[in-house]
Amino acid sequence: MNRWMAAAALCTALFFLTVGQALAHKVNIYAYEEGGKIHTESYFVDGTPSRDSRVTAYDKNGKVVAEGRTDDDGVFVFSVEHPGDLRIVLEASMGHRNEILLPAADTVSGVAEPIPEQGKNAPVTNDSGVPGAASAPQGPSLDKAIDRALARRLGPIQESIINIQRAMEKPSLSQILGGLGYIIGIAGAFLWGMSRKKGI
Amino acid sequence: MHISEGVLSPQLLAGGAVLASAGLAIGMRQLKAEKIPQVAVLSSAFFVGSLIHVPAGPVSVHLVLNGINGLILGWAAFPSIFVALTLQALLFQFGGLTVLGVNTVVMAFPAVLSYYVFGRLVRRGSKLTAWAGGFGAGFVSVAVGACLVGLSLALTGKNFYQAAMVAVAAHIPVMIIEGIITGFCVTFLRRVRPEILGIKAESREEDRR
Repeated sequence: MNRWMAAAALCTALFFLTVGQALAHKVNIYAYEEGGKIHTESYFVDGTPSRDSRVTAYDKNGKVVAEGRTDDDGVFVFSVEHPGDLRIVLEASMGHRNEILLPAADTVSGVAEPIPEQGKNAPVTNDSGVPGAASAPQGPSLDKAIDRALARRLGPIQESIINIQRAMEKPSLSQILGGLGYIIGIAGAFLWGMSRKKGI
Repeated sequence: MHISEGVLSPQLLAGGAVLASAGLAIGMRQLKAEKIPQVAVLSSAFFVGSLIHVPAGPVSVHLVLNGINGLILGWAAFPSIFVALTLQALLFQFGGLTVLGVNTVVMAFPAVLSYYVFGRLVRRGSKLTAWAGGFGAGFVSVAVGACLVGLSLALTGKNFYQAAMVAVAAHIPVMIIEGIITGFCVTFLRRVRPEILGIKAESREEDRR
C-alpha cells in the first residue's frame, strides 16, 4: 500500500507543478497585428502548417468578431474594429485545438478604419482659433503614419519571433531523454516495491 | 491521435477517466514483476514513437505503436501507455492532463483488443501467420484508435462519420507502417526471445542473464 501512496503523492505533486502552464499544444497558433489587420499563423508541433483549420476570434465578452479558415500556409488574416482583448481559438482536425490571447496593448484600436494614402501630414494651421479643434485631425493621421512605419519595421521581427516559437515548440533532446529516464525510474520504483513485498 | 484540452465535454472527460482507471486497475493487477522491464521498454517506444512524424497530406500524424504494446503486454498496455501519455502531456504538451483518461482509452483499448484478436495467431502457427498477426495488430490498433478519436468527437456534437473518416484516412500511412513494423518485431521476437510473446520455450537453451 505504501507504494500506492507514494505514487499518488508523486502524481499530485506533478499535477500541481504543471497546472499553471498553458496546456494543449500539438497544434499552435500565433497572432500579431500588422498594418491594421490581425495576422494569425497556425502550425503543428513538427512545423507543418495547419491547413484548412477553423480560426475564431472572440472579444472579451465572448462575442465572435471574426471567423475563417487557414490557407495552405496555415495563415488566416482578418480585421476587427476596435479589437480590445482578443481570444483567438484554432480548431484543427482530429481534436487538435489551441488558443492564444492577444491583449489590446498589442493591437492598435480602430485598426479597421481605412488608412488614407495621402494623410494630412502638413502642419495644421489654427483656423478656428480653438486650439483643441485644430489638433484633432492631426492626432489620428499622425498615429496612422507612425503605425504604418512601425508595421513595416516590426514585420520581420514578428516573423523571427514565429520562427523562434516554432523552434521552441519542438521537443528537445533533453526533454526526450528526460521522459525516457522517468519511465525507467518509475519501472525501477515498482520493481523495488515488489521486491520488498515478495522478496524477489 | 492526441486529443487536445478544451475539445471534449466534461462528461466525456470523466467517462474517459473512469474507463482508463478500470483498464489501469486490471493491467496493474495482472502485472508480474518480471514483466515490468518489458512494460518500461514498450512505454519508452510509445513515448518516442509519437515524435516520429509520418507525412500524410494536410494533417500531421505520427507513429502510435499501440499494437506491439498490446501484443506483448496484454492488459499491461494500459499502464504502459498511460505513463507515456502522462509524460508526453507534461513534457511536450501533447494532449493534456484533463484528456489523459480519454487519450489512454483511445490508444490502450485497441492495444488490448489486438492482444485478444491476434495474440493466438502470433503465438501458434508458422512464421508467416505470426507476421500476418503482427501486421494485423499494428494495423488494426491504429485504425480502431482513429475510430475512437472520431467517436470521442462525435459524443461532443461533431459528425461521427466525418470525424472518424478524417482520422482514419489521415492514419492510413501510419497503419501500414505500423503493421510492417509490428510484423517484423513479432517474427524477430519469435526467433530470439519467444517467451516475451508468451510462447513456451521448448527445448531451447534459455540465455538467462
